Amino acid sequence: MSENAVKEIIRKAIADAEFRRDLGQDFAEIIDQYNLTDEEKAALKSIDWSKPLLNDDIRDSKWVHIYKQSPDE
Amino acid sequence: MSNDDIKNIIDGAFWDGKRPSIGLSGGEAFLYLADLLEVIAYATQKGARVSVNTNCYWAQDVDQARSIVRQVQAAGVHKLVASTDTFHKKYIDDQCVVNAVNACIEAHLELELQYVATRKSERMFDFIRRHADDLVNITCREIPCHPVGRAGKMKVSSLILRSKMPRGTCPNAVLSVSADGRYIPCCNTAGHLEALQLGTIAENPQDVAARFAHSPVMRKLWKSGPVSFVGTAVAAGFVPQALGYVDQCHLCHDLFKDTEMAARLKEQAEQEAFDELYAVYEARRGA
Repeated sequence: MSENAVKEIIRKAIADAEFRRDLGQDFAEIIDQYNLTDEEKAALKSIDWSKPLLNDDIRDSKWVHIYKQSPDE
Repeated sequence: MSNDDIKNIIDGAFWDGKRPSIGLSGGEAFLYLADLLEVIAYATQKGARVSVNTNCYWAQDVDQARSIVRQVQAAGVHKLVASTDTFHKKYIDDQCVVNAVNACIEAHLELELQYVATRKSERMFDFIRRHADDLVNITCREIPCHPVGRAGKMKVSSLILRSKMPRGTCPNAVLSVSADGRYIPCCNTAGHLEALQLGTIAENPQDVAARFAHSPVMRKLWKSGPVSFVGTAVAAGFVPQALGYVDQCHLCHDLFKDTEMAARLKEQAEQEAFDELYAVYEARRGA
């Protein structure tokens, strides 16, 4: 059942941010490892995998807060 | 954490070519003034905006305050965040903070004042009342003390408990680095929990940033708040604090402090993200 493969890809993309990013960059190479129909491939390809779950305002603000010492110290 | 570690973290913040904002906290960063100046200069010369938290211990007299403000400003700092409250006041007089405020005003350097309060401590309005003229045009923020870390021993009657179940969303989703080199998803108390850790400084910062940007848990906290996890948590045995919570960050800490519970909540967030994305897939396939 290739539908299970689709679900596996989506689940992995949710749980594994690096896999999700790779899907956005190397879609064909990754998707070829799964036995999918052309229709399924096209539907998956139409998804913007690079779009973050967090709002752009948060992602782009990129606050990096660096602690020199732990707050508990 | 060494200066080289900090510079590597700063380098990592530029992974997508965009200018980051960088906040430096302590302990007290001004205790290491030479290191601080070096790090500020390094970050700002690369194009970052830099702010530094401080308790203003270094501003014991006006001339010294002016001198140090000039040094950090020359290094490129954009903003100071001054912390004062009853707990600081045992060691650092109000006048140090006032001297720092006035030195920043003279130098046209932005300064924000933060004040951690409990029901038993002085409040920010007490501080403002004593120094009202000096604080004109200064942003002042009172932060309720969370019963976490050393404050965990505080009596419940001291906490500014405001809600049985706070409905606010995550106000502090900020990629942060703890002193022991862990990337964490916010600079509030819950962010330091093991269950919310995003990675370490030994890893590729681009991978860590991807985990932050694509985190189903952070997305849910940011969009719907910690309260959206409570139903699942209660079903799994979580018992909310009987007297309520200081705010949503206190609730977030209570929910995620237990690693097993946190794993259940992460599953919930991932399932919801899956359902949404699968629905998009099905719509596209049918289109």
